[in-house]
Parts: sequence; C-alpha cells; structure tokens
Amino acid sequence: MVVTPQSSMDDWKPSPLIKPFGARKKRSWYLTWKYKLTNQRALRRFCQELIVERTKEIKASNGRPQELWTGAVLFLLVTVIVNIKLILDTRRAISEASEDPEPEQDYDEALGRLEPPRRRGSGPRRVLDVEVYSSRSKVYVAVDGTTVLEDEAREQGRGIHVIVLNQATGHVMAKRVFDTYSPHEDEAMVLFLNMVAPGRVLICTVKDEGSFHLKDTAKALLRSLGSQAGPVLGWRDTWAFVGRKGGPVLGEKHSKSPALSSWGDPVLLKTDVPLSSAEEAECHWADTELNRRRRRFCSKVEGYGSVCSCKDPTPIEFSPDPLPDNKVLNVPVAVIAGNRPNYLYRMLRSLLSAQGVSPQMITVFIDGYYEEPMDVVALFGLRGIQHTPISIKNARVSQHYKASLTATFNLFPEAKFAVVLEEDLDIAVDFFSFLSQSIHLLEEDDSLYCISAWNDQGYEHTAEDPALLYRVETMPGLGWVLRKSLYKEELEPKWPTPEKLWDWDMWMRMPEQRRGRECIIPDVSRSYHFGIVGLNMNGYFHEAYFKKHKFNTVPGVQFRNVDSLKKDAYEVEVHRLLSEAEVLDHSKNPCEDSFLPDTEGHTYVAFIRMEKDDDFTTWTQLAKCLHIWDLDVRGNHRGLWRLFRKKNHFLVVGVPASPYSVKKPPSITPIFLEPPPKEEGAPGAAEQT
Amino acid sequence: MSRINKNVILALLTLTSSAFLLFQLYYYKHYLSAKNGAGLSKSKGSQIGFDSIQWRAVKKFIMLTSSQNVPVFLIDPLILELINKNFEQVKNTSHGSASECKFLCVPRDFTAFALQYHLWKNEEGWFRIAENMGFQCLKIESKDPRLDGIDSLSGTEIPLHYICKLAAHAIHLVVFHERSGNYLWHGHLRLKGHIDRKFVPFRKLQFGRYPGAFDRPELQQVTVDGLVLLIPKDPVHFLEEVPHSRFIECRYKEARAFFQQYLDDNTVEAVAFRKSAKELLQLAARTLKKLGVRFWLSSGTCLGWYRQCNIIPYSKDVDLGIFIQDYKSDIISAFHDAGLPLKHKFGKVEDSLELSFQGKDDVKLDIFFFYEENDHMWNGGTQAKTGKKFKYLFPKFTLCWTEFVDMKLHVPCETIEYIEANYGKTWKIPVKTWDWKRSPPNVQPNGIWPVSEWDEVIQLY
Repeated sequence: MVVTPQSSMDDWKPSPLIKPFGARKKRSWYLTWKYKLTNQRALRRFCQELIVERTKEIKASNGRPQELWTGAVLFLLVTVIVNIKLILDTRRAISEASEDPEPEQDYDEALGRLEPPRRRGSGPRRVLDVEVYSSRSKVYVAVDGTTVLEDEAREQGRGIHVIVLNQATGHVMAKRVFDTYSPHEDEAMVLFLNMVAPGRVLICTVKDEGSFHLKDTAKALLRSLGSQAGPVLGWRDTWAFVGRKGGPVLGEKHSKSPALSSWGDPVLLKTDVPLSSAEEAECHWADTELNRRRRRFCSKVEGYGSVCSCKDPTPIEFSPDPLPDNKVLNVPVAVIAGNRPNYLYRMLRSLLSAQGVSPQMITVFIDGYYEEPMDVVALFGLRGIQHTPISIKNARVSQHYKASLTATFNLFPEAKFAVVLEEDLDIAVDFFSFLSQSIHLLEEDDSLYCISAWNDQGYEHTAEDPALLYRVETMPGLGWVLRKSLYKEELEPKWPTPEKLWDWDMWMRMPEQRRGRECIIPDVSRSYHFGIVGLNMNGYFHEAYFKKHKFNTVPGVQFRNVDSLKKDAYEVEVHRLLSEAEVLDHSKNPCEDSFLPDTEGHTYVAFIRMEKDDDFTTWTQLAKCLHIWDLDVRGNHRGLWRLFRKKNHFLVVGVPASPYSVKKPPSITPIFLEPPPKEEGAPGAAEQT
Repeated sequence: MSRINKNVILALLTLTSSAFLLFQLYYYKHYLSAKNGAGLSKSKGSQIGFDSIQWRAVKKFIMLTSSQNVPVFLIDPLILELINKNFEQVKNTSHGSASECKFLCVPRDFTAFALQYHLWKNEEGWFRIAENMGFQCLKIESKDPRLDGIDSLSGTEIPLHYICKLAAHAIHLVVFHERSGNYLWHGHLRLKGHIDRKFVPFRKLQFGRYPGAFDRPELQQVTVDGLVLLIPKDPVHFLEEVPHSRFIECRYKEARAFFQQYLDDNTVEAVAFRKSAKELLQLAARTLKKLGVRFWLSSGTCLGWYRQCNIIPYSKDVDLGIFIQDYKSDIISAFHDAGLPLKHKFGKVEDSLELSFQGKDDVKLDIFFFYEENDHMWNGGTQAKTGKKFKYLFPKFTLCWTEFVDMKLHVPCETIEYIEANYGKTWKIPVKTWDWKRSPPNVQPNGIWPVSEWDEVIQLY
C-alpha cells in the first residue's frame, strides 16, 4: 500500500465539509466541529478560508462611507483574531484530548466517510463478442478477439472446458477442464459450477469426448443453466455453450457424432455477451480492511464458493485460540505450492484455523509466476513469494524446495527450525500444539532427523491413539519440522543440482543424508493429504493410499510421556511394551481379521521373518494384506513396526534382523509370507508430492 | 453593481460575521467549561516549551504507535546525543514531572525512530490510522534483499521507510529487518518517480542515504520531556555505529551470471573446503570482535565475495586486512587461545607486518596489516627464503558492511578499485595459478630485510 502524498490528500479530503463559502461557512464550521477537528490540515485550510473571506469582504467594501468602513474593518479584524485564537486553542485542546481512546472512534468515522475504490464501467463498449470452438482435437475461446483458451495438444485436455467471465469486465475469472470421459470428474464439475456466483458468464466447450462419465446430476445442472444440448450430450459430440449463471443462454451449438467411431463436426459459436454494470457484479460488503481483500479477490477469480457470497460470506480471518506456552510461535512456516490455487485455499484455511498459528510467520512459496495462487495468498493477507521455474518435473520441485527453505531461513535468520508444509494438506487443529509439545526433542536429541505430522501407516483401521508418538527410521514429510543446522550445514551445501532430476524427499531419505537419524511422528496424523492432482498422484493412487488416512480432529490433545521419545528412553519404552505384549497365535493367517482377538486396549506382538536389515519381503506382503503403505518400507524402528488393529496395539518384529528378536519365545516360528510371482509393478510412483 | 447593493452586502456580511462570532464565543466558553482546563498544559502554567511542533509531532506519534502496538524506538542521533549527555537527569525524571522541554523541542526537521519489522504484528491498517490522526505519510518499499541471493525468487515488497509529516515536522520511521549474521539492516531511501520530492527536505534525513547495518540493540525505557520512549540501552555504541553503518549488498545477479559461465564447483572437496573456510572465518571474526579490532575481507576472500558471493573453493586460505593503527599486541595470543596457532609472522609493526595462523583442515588464515600514506594504502609481503620485501599498493578506501557466509563483515566500500588494484581488470576470469610475488598488478619490490633482522621479521612455526 504505497500512498503518495497526492493520493493521501484525495483520500483524506472531507470535501463536502470544507468547500462551501460565504453563508454556508457556519455550517461548515459546525460540522467540522462535530467531527472533533481531528485533522489539523482541515483546520489550517479552514482558517485560511476565513481569512480569504474577510479580505474579500474588505475589498468589496472599498470606497464606502468612512465610519461604516472603519467600523466594519475593525469588527472583522476582531472576528479574525478571535477565530485564530479559538482555532489555536482548540487545536491544542484536541491534541491533549486525543490521549483518550478517541482516535479509534475517529478512525471508524473516517472509514465510514471514505469511498470504497470502485471501478468505473469500462467506457462506451458494453458488449463482448465471444467465439467458442469445439472439435475433436482442438478447442478455443476468444473474447473480443483475444484468445483466452486454446488447446490443441494431443492426448491432453479431453473433456469439458469451462471458462467463467466477469459479467462487468469480461475478465477471465476461472478456467477449468473436467475430463468427463473419466469417472468422478463430472462431480468435480458440478461442485465447481455450483460455486460460481450468479450472474457470471459461463462458457463450455468439449474437446474429444465429454459424455462418457457425464452422469445425471451433472446433466440436470446443465439443464438448469438453460442448456439444450448439454443434458443430451452424447458420445463424441461437439458442443459449445455461452450463458449467464442463473440467467439467459446467450448461445449454444451442438453437433452429434454420426457413429461410434467418429466425432461430431467441429462447431464454432459466435455470440454477443452484453456486459452489466460494475455495481451489479459486486457485493456490498461492509467496508473493512478484510472486505477490501475479499473484494479484490472476488472480482478477479471464481470457484471459491462462499468466500465470495454476497449475503453471508465465509470469514477469511480466523482467530483460533492461542496456545498457552506456545514453543513454536516464532518458528517460520513455509508452505510449498504450485499452481493448484483451490488446494492452496483449502490448505491455508485449515492452517489459519489451527490453534497457535501466527500468520506473520507464514510464507507461501509458489513455484512459477502464477497469479491465482498469489491472489489466494493475498486474500488471507499472507506473504507470498514466486519462484521462476528453472528445471523440469521432479528436479523442478526439488529446486523449488531448496529455494524455499533457503529463503525461509534468510527471512527468519533467528529461527532454529522451520515448519514445511505443502499446498495439498489439511492441517489438524492441534498441529501447532503437537509441535509445541515435541519440538524440544529436536533440540535435545541429535539422533533425530525431523518431526513429522504424518504417520505413513496411520490409516483409519491402523491408528487409534491421538496422544501417542513413535520414532521411525523413515522420513514421512507431509507437514514436518526441519532443523536449521541440519539444513544449513548438511543438506543445503549438497542439495541435488537441477540436472540430477531427483526427488527431494527421496534424496532426503537416502542413508547418506539421513545417517541413521530418526523422525518423531504421531500415531494419529496431524495432517491430511487431500491432493488428487499432482506430479506423482492420480485418483486411483490417492484412493488406495491416502483417502482412508486417519486425521486428528480433537483439539488440545496432551501427548503422553514425550520425553520417552528420546533415543535411550525409547529403547526402554519399547522393551517394556514387548515384555507386556501378548504373543499372537502364529499358526493363524496374519492377513485374517481373526489373527487378533476381539479385545480392546491389549498389546500384541507378532514375529515375522526378516533375514537382514534390508529384508522386507514378509513385511511388504503383510502391509499389502493389511491395506497400509506397501510401496516401500515406512514406519519401522530397528525392525519393529507399531500400529493398531481392532483397538489393540499391534507390534511386528522382524526376526532375526531386529535387536528386539530376543523377545521372541523360542517356540515361535516367525511368519513368512511369499511374495506373489512377479507381474507388472504397482501403479504410480511410490512417493508423495 | 450599485453602491446600495454593496452596502447591503457589507451590512449582511457584518451581521453574519457578528452572529458567527457570538456563536463561536458561546461554543468556546462552553468548550472551556466542559474541559475545565484539565487537559490544557497551559493552564498549569509551569511547563515551558511544550507547544513546539517537534514535541507535538513526537507525542502524537508515540500515542499512535503505542495504541497500535508498533514497537518503535528512538534512533535520532541529535536527540540520543542530548539524552546521553544528560543521562543522569533523564534517569531521575519520572513520567510527567518534566518542567521544561529540553530534548524533543530542539529545532530540527525530522525525528528518527526505528522499528524491528519482525516484531510488528499488525502492519495492515496502521497507515490509515496515522493519516486519520493528521499525519501525512509516505511509505518507501522495495524488494527484499534477503531473497536476492536465491535463484529467481520474487516476493512481496517490504517496507523500508515511513515518513510521517505533521505540520512542519516529520517523523522518519526506519524499518529494520533481521538478516543472517545477527544484525539489523535498513534499506536505501530511494525516491521513485511518483514521489513528491518536496514532501520533506529529504536531503536532511539522517538515515537512508545508503542501506545500513547495525548490531541488534538492546532497548531501555526512558521518560524524556514527559514522554515515555524506548532508546538503545547503549546509546554511545549506537551513535558510534551510525556514521559507519553503510552497507553494501553482494552482487548476487553478477554472481549468478559468473556461475552460469564458469559453473560452480560442487565436488566433495570444494564443499568441505568452503565449510572449513567458513568456520575459520567465523572463528576469526569472533576473536577479532572480542578484541575490538576492525578488519575486512581482503585478497582472495574479498574477490570471492565480490565476484561470486561465496568462498573461492580453490583459494586454500582466508585473507583479512587490518589497519596497522588497529593492531593490538594480544592478537596472536587471542588467536592461539581460539585454537589457531601462529604459523608465521613476517615484518614488524613499523613495517610490512603480516600474520598467518593455522586453521583446521589445512586452511590458513592470513592477516595483512595496511599502512596509510598520503595518497594510498599498502601492505607488505616477505619472501621467507630470500628476505625480499614486496609492497602491494591500493587506492585509499573506507569500510562498509556486507553480509558474507551468514556474517556481517567489513569490505572496502570502494570494492572495485580495491579488487582491480589487486587483480587487474581481468578479475572476472578465474585464475587457478597465482604467484603472490609476480601476479598482482599492484606489487612492487620493496628492497630486502637486513639479515640482522631476519630473526625478528621472518618467523616460521
């Protein structure tokens, strides 16, 4: 907010109060008085005006009978002097008086007087001419001759493209493509279209195929928008549509596909879209700093639902309870983001709602010069930093991470830690409470590598205890704390260079970097990975590995016995657990539910075969049949896995590699599970983005 | 227009005015009775000078910042100087008992305050409130230099200076930002195109002519002229810092271009050397700071800073410069205690002194002492084998702060002249073979040490 003296003057000028001359000046004086004369410049100007007025009068009376003349002049002089004295005195009195809480009151009054910055209508042109093209291999949309969408790439952009225009300015507010050939994409489209504010201009066009998984709900919605062809869209039809949300259809063209193996003819729809006035397109929210941010955001982008609702907009400032004795209040938070502004919006909402958050410690690092994520950041009044991409794919992410981490420690040179988050995470309400309770471990125990909010093995059916913490040899990521010394002294100097094309998290998990250190994780995760669209992510993968993850929603959980997580204490703890654990019946199939008795709150142990430190054959099969993370080994601590089954603590020990093998009764033969014969590998890459 | 008409107008105006006057008098009386003289300092009759515009502006500003929780502290050199001189008196006055405005009423155009940006929680909205209180404010922003060192980041601009004018007096609020190396930085007050150059007499500002670097000051609360202010706990130290606070940023853009041309050396050895050199530099800086000895980056270390914003991995030593007038005899023992034994000592305090200390991992610390002549500076070199003396000439220079490997350090402000004297116009091109007796363009033979002195001027350990 740079305010030049000129503009500040314009903002300030309570002109209706000052302008009137002559007889009206009394009113002017009175009103100014009423506003408590806070503004000294107003006073000065006022004073000058009075003097000018008097001088004018004196000039006007030139040549009058002398007595009257002198009398009048004297009288006027007295008036002037009294005026000046009065002004001087009141001025002093007011500066004394404003020691009271009065300034705030004045501030509010002043705010009320300020005109909100409104855009004027865009001149004489009140009609947009819109062109929409739909065909098998190409779609485009042009508004007033400017191409706002053009997609003729092969093997990409299949489905229904949707563009939302501001009805007053014609600006593109949202641009989406829904691959309604594939399942569930129509649901996303319905969700999106429902969020668009009434009155906006909607443009739809189909590329290739958009009907295969376009279900009834979606078709009904299209019908409600007034579309004729949308609800009856068939296999490989082409379709172009322009309409106002909740208003008239402005144009539609449709061409049916003549046969299964061929596409409908390309259609080109040309139509005029009348623009409405700016007042109609904007909501009338109270003029506050927050609503100013909201207005700026809502006039630019669409698809964020109730945040832009005129009637009852969802808040953009959250005042979660502060954390008593918050140890992470001054720990910077780096949010690593790409171009997924809707994700970022959801993520920041949950982050800003978490207890103990300090917004001024948050920095959002956006990989690329994308506007919309920056708009989201600005909506919440946070700091955003854009990063010019310098590499491709995974290496790009990795370089973005490096730049973001370096920047974080540069911006907060006194910080000893940084919290690293990603844009596709929900943050638990007690995320900072969890960190506040555990961060001292990172300071006191140098056998620790990180604290992470994510338990790779913490699914709905395998996690139970929100007050329990583990030590694990793997680095889960997805909401974690990085020690500055680790980054500055070890990681940063040898961070993989762009040509290496490595994943940063895979690299961080390598033994050269991790060097035997462990991470602290909660049994019940304090973050939730909701991202479906990502570099290494697709719908199937997400459903299989992330959707059923357990996520803590209980505020203020006190973790039990946090100091027992320190290196030596943890061994004592594990030995205690193993000693009291009941050994399961190893003749049963561990994949069956009946492997564990139907009890609650017991601790059980099973022994599986693990020949060497890196022999995970049986574990992987067990993980597979338990429907937990099986794509690589996660969550282990010296050949021990800890999870819950049927509300019982369930320990798995790898024999003989684990040092805890000594706890195995001699009579027990470790379970061995045969890997299935080699087929093609698991879908997707085995890591998170 | 007829005379009658004018008469009528005059009469009407006079009538209006008298009505107006009566009205004002009525209100004035009313107002005074309401106030009952309580808030009027004048009514006490015992206070002198409190109606100066300077005092009023400061008072209003303090009111504003305390109500908005803006943690400002006074850094105005003129007033700090005064406070410092009369510190006993300031300490003994409690709030409100001042009878004479001694400090804040001194005639001047500006009063300078500072703010630590990271302690400021509610930046939004502050500005508007200031303007509604009658201040006219100007905000100078710029990009964040802390992101400059990192490839291609561009972020939200940060505020550097606020100038808030109240009548004829202006408050200059310098925004300090935390930097790596435990110091505070403020930016250059650069007037962009649209700024009214006559807004205030910018030339008279005490801060902002250059970027500046300061030690993070501890603060204390004092009552000055009836106002409660925060000032640096050690005003003398702060005042000493002010004239020498100029800061120059590393040339990150040029450094990136350099690495594009020559590629950075990221081998294990290079990473290891940089790490040890950085640790050695940190240790040396700590040791010299404890002794109170000024030093700057010299030779290869300075070149590394200037050319690539990093330690040159094949340079094999760390080079520092010290003015001979800053020499202290306990330097050697202090380094010894810090775990850096003396490796060799050439020359003597009067002539060509050079000390070399042995750091860890075979990294050497060279300290060159600089001698000042009328029109140039020089430092000496000695060839151990032959006793030959050399002289390295530099144009005169002053010292500026910079940030290097997470430390606030000195470099010659006139860096390019310094580097070109030492390495010639082709300093941009990396050279791995360097003969300190022949390669530098500024080297001159300087005779030979008499053999009788060798024991003193050539000491090898």
